Amino acid sequence: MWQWLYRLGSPKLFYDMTTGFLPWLTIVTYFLLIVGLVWGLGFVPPDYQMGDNFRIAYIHIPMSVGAMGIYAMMACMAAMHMIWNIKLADLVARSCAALGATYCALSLVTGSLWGKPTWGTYWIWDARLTSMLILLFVFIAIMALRSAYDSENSGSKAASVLTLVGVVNLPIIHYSVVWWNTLHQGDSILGVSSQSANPPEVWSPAFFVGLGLIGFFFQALIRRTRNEILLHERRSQWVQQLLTSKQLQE
Amino acid sequence: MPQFQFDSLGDFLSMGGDAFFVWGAYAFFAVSMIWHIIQPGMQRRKVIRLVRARMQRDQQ
Amino acid sequence: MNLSGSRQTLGTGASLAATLQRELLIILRSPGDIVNPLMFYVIAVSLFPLGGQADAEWLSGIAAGVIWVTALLAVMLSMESLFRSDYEDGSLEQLLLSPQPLYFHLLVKVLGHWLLTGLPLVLLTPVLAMMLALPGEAYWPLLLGLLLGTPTLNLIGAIGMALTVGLKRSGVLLAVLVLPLSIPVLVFGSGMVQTTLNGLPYTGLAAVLGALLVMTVSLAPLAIGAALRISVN
Repeated sequence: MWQWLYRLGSPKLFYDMTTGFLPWLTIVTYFLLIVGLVWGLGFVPPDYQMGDNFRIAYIHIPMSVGAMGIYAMMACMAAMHMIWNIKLADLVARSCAALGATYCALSLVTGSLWGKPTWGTYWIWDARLTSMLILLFVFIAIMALRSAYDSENSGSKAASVLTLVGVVNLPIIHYSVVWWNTLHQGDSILGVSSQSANPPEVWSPAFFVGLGLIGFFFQALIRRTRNEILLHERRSQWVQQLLTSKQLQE
Repeated sequence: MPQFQFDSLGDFLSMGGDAFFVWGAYAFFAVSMIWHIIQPGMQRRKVIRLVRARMQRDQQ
Repeated sequence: MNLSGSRQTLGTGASLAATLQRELLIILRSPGDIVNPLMFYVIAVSLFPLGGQADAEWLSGIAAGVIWVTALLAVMLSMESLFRSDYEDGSLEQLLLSPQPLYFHLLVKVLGHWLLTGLPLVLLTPVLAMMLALPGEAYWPLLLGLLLGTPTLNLIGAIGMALTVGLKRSGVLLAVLVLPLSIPVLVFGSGMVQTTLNGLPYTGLAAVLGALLVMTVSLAPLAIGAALRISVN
Protein backbone atom coordinates (compact mmCIF):
# COMPACT_ATOMS: atom_id res chain seq x y z
CA MET A 1 0.00 0.00 0.00
CA TRP A 2 2.79 2.35 0.84
CA GLN A 3 4.76 1.23 -2.19
CA TRP A 4 4.49 4.59 -3.91
CA LEU A 5 5.76 6.31 -0.80
CA TYR A 6 8.86 4.16 -0.72
CA ARG A 7 9.40 4.76 -4.41
CA LEU A 8 9.09 8.50 -3.83
CA GLY A 9 11.52 8.12 -0.98
CA SER A 10 14.16 6.72 -3.30
CA PRO A 11 17.10 9.13 -3.40
CA LYS A 12 17.95 8.10 -6.95
CA LEU A 13 14.47 8.92 -8.19
CA PHE A 14 14.57 12.27 -6.43
CA TYR A 15 17.97 13.04 -7.91
CA ASP A 16 16.96 12.05 -11.43
CA MET A 17 13.67 13.91 -11.32
CA THR A 18 15.18 17.11 -10.03
CA THR A 19 18.03 17.11 -12.55
CA GLY A 20 15.70 18.16 -15.32
CA PHE A 21 13.34 20.15 -13.18
CA LEU A 22 15.81 22.32 -11.29
CA PRO A 23 16.93 24.68 -14.11
CA TRP A 24 13.33 25.51 -14.98
CA LEU A 25 12.41 26.11 -11.38
CA THR A 26 15.44 28.35 -10.99
CA ILE A 27 14.58 30.42 -14.06
CA VAL A 28 10.94 30.86 -13.04
CA THR A 29 12.01 31.73 -9.50
CA TYR A 30 14.43 34.44 -10.56
CA PHE A 31 11.91 35.84 -13.02
CA LEU A 32 9.20 36.07 -10.37
CA LEU A 33 11.56 37.55 -7.80
CA ILE A 34 13.01 40.19 -10.11
CA VAL A 35 9.61 41.25 -11.48
CA GLY A 36 8.05 41.35 -8.01
CA LEU A 37 10.90 43.21 -6.35
CA VAL A 38 11.38 45.81 -9.08
CA TRP A 39 7.63 46.35 -9.21
CA GLY A 40 7.35 46.59 -5.44
CA LEU A 41 10.35 48.88 -5.03
CA GLY A 42 9.66 51.29 -7.84
CA PHE A 43 6.23 50.98 -9.39
CA VAL A 44 3.79 50.84 -6.50
CA PRO A 45 2.45 54.18 -5.25
CA PRO A 46 3.71 55.04 -1.75
CA ASP A 47 1.44 54.27 1.18
CA TYR A 48 -0.44 57.37 2.31
CA GLN A 49 0.39 56.61 5.96
CA MET A 50 3.79 54.98 5.91
CA GLY A 51 5.33 56.55 2.82
CA ASP A 52 7.95 54.43 1.10
CA ASN A 53 9.03 52.23 3.97
CA PHE A 54 6.06 49.90 3.41
CA ARG A 55 8.09 48.48 0.51
CA ILE A 56 9.88 46.39 3.13
CA ALA A 57 6.62 44.45 3.46
CA TYR A 58 7.24 42.81 0.09
CA ILE A 59 10.06 40.81 1.61
CA HIS A 60 9.04 40.86 5.25
CA ILE A 61 5.62 39.23 4.95
CA PRO A 62 6.61 36.35 2.63
CA MET A 63 9.60 35.67 4.88
CA SER A 64 7.41 35.43 7.98
CA VAL A 65 4.85 33.17 6.36
CA GLY A 66 7.63 31.21 4.69
CA ALA A 67 9.44 30.53 7.96
CA MET A 68 6.32 28.96 9.44
CA GLY A 69 5.61 27.00 6.28
CA ILE A 70 9.15 25.68 6.25
CA TYR A 71 8.76 24.48 9.82
CA ALA A 72 5.55 22.69 8.88
CA MET A 73 7.30 21.00 5.98
CA MET A 74 10.27 20.06 8.13
CA ALA A 75 7.87 18.55 10.68
CA CYS A 76 6.18 16.43 7.99
CA MET A 77 9.60 15.23 6.85
CA ALA A 78 10.61 14.47 10.44
CA ALA A 79 7.41 12.46 10.92
CA MET A 80 8.03 10.51 7.72
CA HIS A 81 11.57 9.87 8.85
CA MET A 82 10.46 8.63 12.26
CA ILE A 83 7.46 6.59 11.15
CA TRP A 84 8.56 5.02 7.87
CA ASN A 85 12.28 5.46 8.34
CA ILE A 86 12.63 7.20 4.97
CA LYS A 87 16.18 8.47 4.72
CA LEU A 88 15.35 10.99 2.00
CA ALA A 89 12.83 12.69 4.27
CA ASP A 90 15.60 13.32 6.76
CA LEU A 91 17.90 14.73 4.09
CA VAL A 92 15.12 17.14 3.11
CA ALA A 93 14.43 18.04 6.76
CA ARG A 94 18.11 18.78 7.25
CA SER A 95 18.08 21.18 4.31
CA CYS A 96 14.88 22.78 5.61
CA ALA A 97 16.46 23.75 8.92
CA ALA A 98 19.10 26.07 7.49
CA LEU A 99 16.66 27.71 5.10
CA GLY A 100 13.96 28.04 7.75
CA ALA A 101 16.39 29.70 10.14
CA THR A 102 17.39 32.12 7.39
CA TYR A 103 13.79 32.99 6.51
CA CYS A 104 13.01 33.44 10.19
CA ALA A 105 16.04 35.65 10.83
CA LEU A 106 15.30 37.72 7.74
CA SER A 107 11.72 38.15 8.85
CA LEU A 108 12.98 39.50 12.17
CA VAL A 109 15.64 41.77 10.67
CA THR A 110 13.38 43.25 8.00
CA GLY A 111 10.56 43.60 10.52
CA SER A 112 12.89 45.40 12.87
CA LEU A 113 14.04 47.75 10.11
CA TRP A 114 10.42 48.38 9.23
CA GLY A 115 9.48 48.92 12.85
CA LYS A 116 11.89 51.80 13.40
CA PRO A 117 10.30 54.24 10.90
CA THR A 118 6.70 53.11 11.56
CA TRP A 119 6.58 52.42 15.31
CA GLY A 120 9.64 54.43 16.29
CA THR A 121 11.52 51.44 17.69
CA TYR A 122 13.52 48.54 16.33
CA TRP A 123 12.02 46.06 18.69
CA ILE A 124 8.82 45.74 20.68
CA TRP A 125 7.75 42.67 22.63
CA ASP A 126 4.80 42.20 20.37
CA ALA A 127 3.24 38.75 20.19
CA ARG A 128 4.14 38.15 16.56
CA LEU A 129 7.73 39.32 16.92
CA THR A 130 8.23 37.29 20.06
CA SER A 131 6.78 34.11 18.55
CA MET A 132 8.98 34.57 15.50
CA LEU A 133 12.02 34.98 17.74
CA ILE A 134 11.16 31.77 19.55
CA LEU A 135 10.66 29.97 16.24
CA LEU A 136 14.18 31.05 15.33
CA PHE A 137 15.45 29.65 18.64
CA VAL A 138 13.77 26.33 17.88
CA PHE A 139 15.28 26.18 14.38
CA ILE A 140 18.71 26.86 15.88
CA ALA A 141 18.16 24.29 18.62
CA ILE A 142 17.31 21.63 16.03
CA MET A 143 20.42 22.39 14.01
CA ALA A 144 22.57 22.45 17.16
CA LEU A 145 21.24 19.10 18.32
CA ARG A 146 21.86 17.48 14.97
CA SER A 147 25.42 18.72 14.75
CA ALA A 148 26.19 17.73 18.35
CA TYR A 149 25.96 14.05 17.52
CA ASP A 150 28.99 12.22 16.15
CA SER A 151 26.83 9.49 14.68
CA GLU A 152 24.88 10.94 11.80
CA ASN A 153 22.07 8.44 12.17
CA SER A 154 21.47 9.25 15.84
CA GLY A 155 21.77 12.95 15.11
CA SER A 156 19.06 12.89 12.49
CA LYS A 157 16.75 10.76 14.64
CA ALA A 158 17.24 13.12 17.59
CA ALA A 159 16.60 16.16 15.40
CA SER A 160 13.40 14.54 14.14
CA VAL A 161 12.16 13.93 17.68
CA LEU A 162 12.90 17.52 18.64
CA THR A 163 11.16 18.79 15.50
CA LEU A 164 8.03 16.84 16.39
CA VAL A 165 8.15 18.02 20.00
CA GLY A 166 8.33 21.53 18.55
CA VAL A 167 5.20 20.93 16.47
CA VAL A 168 3.20 20.25 19.61
CA ASN A 169 4.84 23.05 21.51
CA LEU A 170 4.99 25.90 19.00
CA PRO A 171 1.22 26.58 18.88
CA ILE A 172 1.15 26.59 22.69
CA ILE A 173 4.09 28.95 22.75
CA HIS A 174 2.32 31.18 20.26
CA TYR A 175 -0.88 31.35 22.31
CA SER A 176 1.00 31.87 25.54
CA VAL A 177 2.87 34.76 23.98
CA VAL A 178 -0.35 36.27 22.61
CA TRP A 179 -1.92 36.08 26.05
CA TRP A 180 1.20 37.45 27.73
CA ASN A 181 1.29 40.30 25.24
CA THR A 182 -2.30 41.33 25.88
CA LEU A 183 -1.52 41.33 29.60
CA HIS A 184 1.48 43.58 29.27
CA GLN A 185 0.92 45.64 26.17
CA GLY A 186 -2.61 46.90 26.42
CA ASP A 187 -3.67 48.16 23.04
CA SER A 188 -1.23 47.17 20.38
CA ILE A 189 0.37 49.95 18.39
CA LEU A 190 0.11 47.80 15.31
CA GLY A 191 -2.83 49.78 14.00
CA VAL A 192 -1.20 50.18 10.62
CA SER A 193 -1.63 46.66 9.27
CA SER A 194 -4.87 47.18 7.39
CA GLN A 195 -3.95 44.71 4.67
CA SER A 196 -7.47 44.03 3.50
CA ALA A 197 -8.00 47.63 2.48
CA ASN A 198 -5.07 47.52 0.07
CA PRO A 199 -5.94 47.75 -3.63
CA PRO A 200 -4.67 45.15 -6.11
CA GLU A 201 -1.85 47.36 -7.42
CA VAL A 202 -0.32 47.19 -3.92
CA TRP A 203 -0.60 43.49 -3.31
CA SER A 204 0.04 42.10 -6.77
CA PRO A 205 3.84 42.52 -6.55
CA ALA A 206 3.64 40.73 -3.21
CA PHE A 207 2.05 37.83 -5.06
CA PHE A 208 5.06 37.67 -7.39
CA VAL A 209 7.60 37.96 -4.58
CA GLY A 210 5.71 35.43 -2.48
CA LEU A 211 5.66 32.85 -5.25
CA GLY A 212 9.26 33.72 -6.06
CA LEU A 213 10.36 33.09 -2.50
CA ILE A 214 8.50 29.79 -2.38
CA GLY A 215 10.29 28.87 -5.59
CA PHE A 216 13.58 30.07 -4.14
CA PHE A 217 13.06 27.94 -1.06
CA PHE A 218 12.39 24.85 -3.15
CA GLN A 219 15.30 25.35 -5.51
CA ALA A 220 17.72 25.92 -2.62
CA LEU A 221 16.18 22.95 -0.81
CA ILE A 222 16.56 20.71 -3.85
CA ARG A 223 20.16 21.77 -4.45
CA ARG A 224 21.07 21.14 -0.82
CA THR A 225 19.25 17.83 -0.75
CA ARG A 226 20.99 16.69 -3.95
CA ASN A 227 24.33 17.35 -2.28
CA GLU A 228 23.27 15.36 0.75
CA ILE A 229 22.13 12.52 -1.51
CA LEU A 230 25.47 12.40 -3.33
CA LEU A 231 27.26 12.29 0.00
CA HIS A 232 25.03 9.68 1.62
CA GLU A 233 24.62 7.44 -1.40
CA ARG A 234 28.29 7.57 -2.33
CA ARG A 235 28.64 3.81 -2.00
CA SER A 236 25.72 3.09 -4.33
CA GLN A 237 26.37 2.18 -7.92
CA TRP A 238 24.44 4.97 -9.56
CA VAL A 239 26.34 7.70 -7.75
CA GLN A 240 29.66 6.07 -8.58
CA GLN A 241 28.66 5.84 -12.24
CA LEU A 242 27.48 9.42 -12.21
CA LEU A 243 30.76 10.59 -10.78
CA THR A 244 32.97 8.53 -13.09
CA SER A 245 31.31 9.95 -16.17
CA LYS A 246 33.16 13.16 -16.80
CA GLN A 247 30.09 15.09 -17.86
CA LEU A 248 29.27 15.81 -14.24
CA GLN A 249 31.39 18.88 -13.65
CA GLU A 250 32.25 20.03 -10.17
CA MET B 1 0.40 49.63 -16.66
CA PRO B 2 2.14 50.65 -13.42
CA GLN B 3 4.03 53.91 -13.47
CA PHE B 4 7.52 54.46 -12.02
CA GLN B 5 6.72 56.33 -8.83
CA PHE B 6 9.91 58.34 -8.41
CA ASP B 7 10.97 61.50 -10.20
CA SER B 8 14.69 60.72 -10.36
CA LEU B 9 17.22 58.07 -9.45
CA GLY B 10 18.24 60.09 -6.39
CA ASP B 11 14.61 60.25 -5.34
CA PHE B 12 14.35 56.48 -5.77
CA LEU B 13 17.48 55.89 -3.72
CA SER B 14 16.33 58.15 -0.89
CA MET B 15 13.01 56.23 -0.54
CA GLY B 16 11.16 59.20 0.87
CA GLY B 17 13.75 59.61 3.63
CA ASP B 18 13.63 55.98 4.75
CA ALA B 19 16.56 54.90 2.59
CA PHE B 20 18.47 53.35 5.49
CA PHE B 21 15.57 51.13 6.50
CA VAL B 22 14.31 50.11 3.06
CA TRP B 23 17.71 49.53 1.50
CA GLY B 24 19.02 48.05 4.74
CA ALA B 25 16.24 45.48 4.75
CA TYR B 26 16.76 44.71 1.07
CA ALA B 27 20.53 44.48 1.59
CA PHE B 28 20.12 41.89 4.35
CA PHE B 29 17.71 40.06 2.11
CA ALA B 30 20.06 40.16 -0.88
CA VAL B 31 23.08 39.00 1.11
CA SER B 32 21.18 36.04 2.57
CA MET B 33 19.73 35.04 -0.77
CA ILE B 34 23.14 35.25 -2.45
CA TRP B 35 24.57 33.12 0.33
CA HIS B 36 21.90 30.52 -0.29
CA ILE B 37 22.66 30.62 -4.01
CA ILE B 38 26.41 30.26 -3.57
CA GLN B 39 26.56 27.90 -0.62
CA PRO B 40 24.92 24.81 -2.18
CA GLY B 41 27.26 25.18 -5.16
CA MET B 42 30.32 25.21 -2.93
CA GLN B 43 28.92 22.32 -0.96
CA ARG B 44 28.35 20.37 -4.17
CA ARG B 45 31.93 20.92 -5.32
CA LYS B 46 33.20 19.77 -1.93
CA VAL B 47 30.99 16.67 -1.92
CA ILE B 48 31.93 15.65 -5.47
CA ARG B 49 35.62 16.12 -4.75
CA LEU B 50 35.33 14.08 -1.56
CA VAL B 51 33.37 11.24 -3.12
CA ARG B 52 35.71 11.07 -6.14
CA ALA B 53 38.73 10.99 -3.86
CA ARG B 54 37.22 8.11 -1.91
CA MET B 55 36.40 6.22 -5.09
CA GLN B 56 40.00 6.56 -6.26
CA ARG B 57 41.28 5.42 -2.90
CA ASP B 58 39.00 2.39 -2.99
CA GLN B 59 40.17 1.42 -6.48
CA GLN B 60 43.82 1.31 -5.46
CA MET C 1 18.08 -3.01 42.35
CA ASN C 2 14.78 -4.84 42.45
CA LEU C 3 14.26 -5.22 38.73
CA SER C 4 16.44 -8.13 37.78
CA GLY C 5 15.79 -10.37 34.82
CA SER C 6 14.78 -13.36 36.91
CA ARG C 7 11.75 -11.58 38.29
CA GLN C 8 9.85 -10.82 35.13
CA THR C 9 6.63 -11.92 36.74
CA LEU C 10 6.67 -8.76 38.81
CA GLY C 11 3.37 -6.93 38.33
CA THR C 12 3.28 -3.52 36.72
CA GLY C 13 2.28 -1.78 39.94
CA ALA C 14 5.01 -3.41 41.96
CA SER C 15 7.62 -2.71 39.34
CA LEU C 16 6.58 0.93 39.16
CA ALA C 17 6.85 1.18 42.93
CA ALA C 18 10.28 -0.40 42.68
CA THR C 19 11.32 2.12 40.03
CA LEU C 20 10.15 4.99 42.20
CA GLN C 21 11.94 3.60 45.21
CA ARG C 22 15.10 3.07 43.24
CA GLU C 23 14.94 6.56 41.76
CA LEU C 24 14.51 8.13 45.19
CA LEU C 25 17.33 6.04 46.62
CA ILE C 26 19.72 6.98 43.84
CA ILE C 27 19.09 10.68 44.27
CA LEU C 28 19.23 10.47 48.06
CA ARG C 29 22.60 8.77 47.85
CA SER C 30 24.10 11.74 46.02
CA PRO C 31 22.86 14.74 48.02
CA GLY C 32 24.75 17.07 45.71
CA ASP C 33 22.19 16.43 43.01
CA ILE C 34 19.48 17.74 45.32
CA VAL C 35 21.37 20.50 47.05
CA ASN C 36 23.28 22.04 44.16
CA PRO C 37 20.27 23.11 42.06
CA LEU C 38 18.71 24.56 45.22
CA MET C 39 21.90 26.45 45.98
CA PHE C 40 21.96 27.71 42.43
CA TYR C 41 18.36 28.84 42.87
CA VAL C 42 19.09 30.78 46.05
CA ILE C 43 22.33 32.30 44.82
CA ALA C 44 21.00 33.31 41.42
CA VAL C 45 17.91 34.95 42.91
CA SER C 46 20.02 36.88 45.40
CA LEU C 47 22.14 38.24 42.56
CA PHE C 48 19.26 40.30 41.20
CA PRO C 49 19.08 42.82 44.07
CA LEU C 50 22.87 43.05 43.92
CA GLY C 51 22.96 43.56 40.19
CA GLY C 52 19.90 45.79 40.11
CA GLN C 53 18.55 47.82 42.98
CA ALA C 54 17.76 46.85 46.54
CA ASP C 55 14.66 48.99 47.08
CA ALA C 56 11.52 47.03 47.83
CA GLU C 57 9.40 48.65 45.13
CA TRP C 58 11.67 47.73 42.25
CA LEU C 59 12.24 44.26 43.65
CA SER C 60 8.56 43.46 44.10
CA GLY C 61 8.01 44.44 40.48
CA ILE C 62 10.48 41.89 39.15
CA ALA C 63 10.10 39.28 41.92
CA ALA C 64 7.76 36.92 40.08
CA GLY C 65 9.76 37.02 36.87
CA VAL C 66 13.08 36.52 38.68
CA ILE C 67 11.78 33.61 40.74
CA TRP C 68 10.19 31.90 37.75
CA VAL C 69 13.16 32.30 35.43
CA THR C 70 15.60 31.16 38.09
CA ALA C 71 13.39 28.22 39.04
CA LEU C 72 13.26 27.23 35.37
CA LEU C 73 17.06 27.33 35.13
CA ALA C 74 17.45 25.45 38.41
CA VAL C 75 15.09 22.70 37.27
CA MET C 76 17.06 22.40 34.08
CA LEU C 77 20.35 22.12 35.93
CA SER C 78 18.87 19.42 38.14
CA MET C 79 17.92 17.33 35.09
CA GLU C 80 21.53 16.34 34.55
CA SER C 81 21.23 13.67 37.24
CA LEU C 82 18.05 12.14 35.81
CA PHE C 83 19.50 9.82 33.16
CA ARG C 84 23.25 10.38 33.35
CA SER C 85 24.24 7.71 35.86
CA ASP C 86 21.67 5.26 34.48
CA TYR C 87 23.13 5.77 31.05
CA GLU C 88 26.67 5.24 32.23
CA ASP C 89 26.03 2.06 34.22
CA GLY C 90 23.79 0.53 31.56
CA SER C 91 20.60 0.37 33.61
CA LEU C 92 18.94 2.72 31.14
CA GLU C 93 19.34 0.05 28.49
CA GLN C 94 17.81 -2.45 30.89
CA LEU C 95 14.88 -0.13 31.41
CA LEU C 96 14.31 0.13 27.66
CA LEU C 97 14.51 -3.64 27.29
CA SER C 98 12.32 -4.45 30.27
CA PRO C 99 8.92 -5.98 29.58
CA GLN C 100 7.19 -3.38 31.77
CA PRO C 101 5.49 -0.47 30.03
CA LEU C 102 8.17 2.11 29.37
CA TYR C 103 5.71 4.99 29.39
CA PHE C 104 4.80 4.59 33.07
CA HIS C 105 8.34 3.84 34.09
CA LEU C 106 9.57 7.06 32.62
CA LEU C 107 6.70 8.95 34.19
CA VAL C 108 7.47 7.49 37.59
CA LYS C 109 11.14 8.17 37.15
CA VAL C 110 10.53 11.83 36.40
CA LEU C 111 8.02 12.01 39.25
CA GLY C 112 10.60 10.64 41.68
CA HIS C 113 13.10 13.16 40.40
CA TRP C 114 10.59 15.95 40.86
CA LEU C 115 9.77 14.87 44.42
CA LEU C 116 13.39 15.34 45.44
CA THR C 117 14.41 18.32 43.30
CA GLY C 118 11.29 20.20 42.21
CA LEU C 119 9.32 20.01 45.41
CA PRO C 120 12.12 21.32 47.67
CA LEU C 121 12.53 24.16 45.23
CA VAL C 122 8.86 25.08 45.59
CA LEU C 123 9.11 24.83 49.37
CA LEU C 124 12.12 27.11 49.41
CA THR C 125 10.37 29.76 47.33
CA PRO C 126 8.51 31.66 50.10
CA VAL C 127 11.84 32.61 51.67
CA LEU C 128 13.11 34.01 48.39
CA ALA C 129 9.79 35.72 47.71
CA MET C 130 10.09 37.43 51.06
CA MET C 131 13.64 38.55 50.28
CA LEU C 132 12.38 40.03 47.01
CA ALA C 133 9.58 41.88 48.84
CA LEU C 134 6.79 40.09 47.00
CA PRO C 135 3.41 41.41 48.21
CA GLY C 136 1.56 39.05 50.54
CA GLU C 137 -1.37 38.26 48.26
CA ALA C 138 0.96 36.97 45.54
CA TYR C 139 2.42 34.09 47.60
CA TRP C 140 -0.35 31.60 46.89
CA PRO C 141 -0.48 32.09 43.12
CA LEU C 142 3.32 31.90 43.01
CA LEU C 143 3.46 28.66 44.98
CA LEU C 144 0.49 27.09 43.23
CA GLY C 145 1.98 28.06 39.87
CA LEU C 146 5.34 26.53 40.76
CA LEU C 147 3.65 23.43 42.11
CA LEU C 148 1.82 22.94 38.80
CA GLY C 149 4.65 24.24 36.63
CA THR C 150 7.78 22.52 37.94
CA PRO C 151 6.59 18.98 37.07
CA THR C 152 5.90 20.23 33.55
CA LEU C 153 9.36 21.75 33.41
CA ASN C 154 10.80 18.50 34.71
CA LEU C 155 9.10 16.54 31.95
CA ILE C 156 10.16 18.97 29.23
CA GLY C 157 13.66 18.95 30.65
CA ALA C 158 13.60 15.17 30.62
CA ILE C 159 12.94 15.25 26.86
CA GLY C 160 15.97 17.48 26.39
CA MET C 161 18.06 15.35 28.72
CA ALA C 162 17.00 12.16 26.94
CA LEU C 163 18.05 13.70 23.63
CA THR C 164 21.47 14.73 24.92
CA VAL C 165 22.36 12.02 27.42
CA GLY C 166 24.44 10.16 24.84
CA LEU C 167 26.60 13.20 24.18
CA LYS C 168 29.82 13.87 26.00
CA ARG C 169 29.02 17.50 26.76
CA SER C 170 25.37 18.36 26.96
CA GLY C 171 25.06 21.26 29.41
CA VAL C 172 24.66 24.28 27.14
CA LEU C 173 22.91 22.31 24.41
CA LEU C 174 20.32 21.15 26.94
CA ALA C 175 19.58 24.80 27.73
CA VAL C 176 19.27 25.67 24.04
CA LEU C 177 16.82 22.81 23.48
CA VAL C 178 14.71 23.14 26.58
CA LEU C 179 14.42 26.85 27.28
CA PRO C 180 12.35 27.79 24.20
CA LEU C 181 9.98 24.90 24.89
CA SER C 182 9.53 25.99 28.50
CA ILE C 183 8.24 29.44 27.61
CA PRO C 184 4.49 28.71 28.02
CA VAL C 185 4.99 27.51 31.59
CA LEU C 186 7.04 30.57 32.37
CA VAL C 187 4.50 32.92 30.80
CA PHE C 188 1.45 31.48 32.51
CA GLY C 189 3.24 30.87 35.80
CA SER C 190 4.54 34.38 36.30
CA GLY C 191 1.31 35.62 34.72
CA MET C 192 -0.57 34.15 37.67
CA VAL C 193 1.37 36.43 39.99
CA GLN C 194 0.98 39.46 37.73
CA THR C 195 -2.80 39.07 37.41
CA THR C 196 -3.10 38.72 41.17
CA LEU C 197 -1.13 41.90 41.65
CA ASN C 198 -3.45 43.58 39.15
CA GLY C 199 -6.38 42.52 41.31
CA LEU C 200 -7.72 39.85 38.95
CA PRO C 201 -8.45 36.19 39.72
CA TYR C 202 -5.67 33.74 38.88
CA THR C 203 -7.76 30.57 38.74
CA GLY C 204 -8.07 30.59 34.94
CA LEU C 205 -4.31 30.67 34.51
CA ALA C 206 -3.89 27.97 37.13
CA ALA C 207 -6.25 25.87 35.03
CA VAL C 208 -4.12 26.54 31.95
CA LEU C 209 -1.00 25.46 33.84
CA GLY C 210 -2.87 22.37 34.98
CA ALA C 211 -3.86 21.65 31.38
CA LEU C 212 -0.25 22.03 30.30
CA LEU C 213 0.76 19.61 33.04
CA VAL C 214 -1.83 17.04 31.95
CA MET C 215 -0.79 17.41 28.34
CA THR C 216 2.90 17.09 29.15
CA VAL C 217 2.28 14.09 31.40
CA SER C 218 0.41 12.35 28.60
CA LEU C 219 2.75 13.22 25.72
CA ALA C 220 6.24 13.81 27.11
CA PRO C 221 6.94 10.18 28.11
CA LEU C 222 6.46 9.18 24.47
CA ALA C 223 9.05 11.71 23.36
CA ILE C 224 11.37 10.79 26.23
CA GLY C 225 11.10 7.12 25.28
CA ALA C 226 11.81 7.79 21.62
CA ALA C 227 14.74 10.02 22.51
CA LEU C 228 16.22 7.48 24.94
CA ARG C 229 16.09 4.75 22.31
CA ILE C 230 18.13 6.99 20.03
CA SER C 231 20.62 7.90 22.74
CA VAL C 232 21.16 4.34 23.90
CA ASN C 233 21.85 2.95 20.43
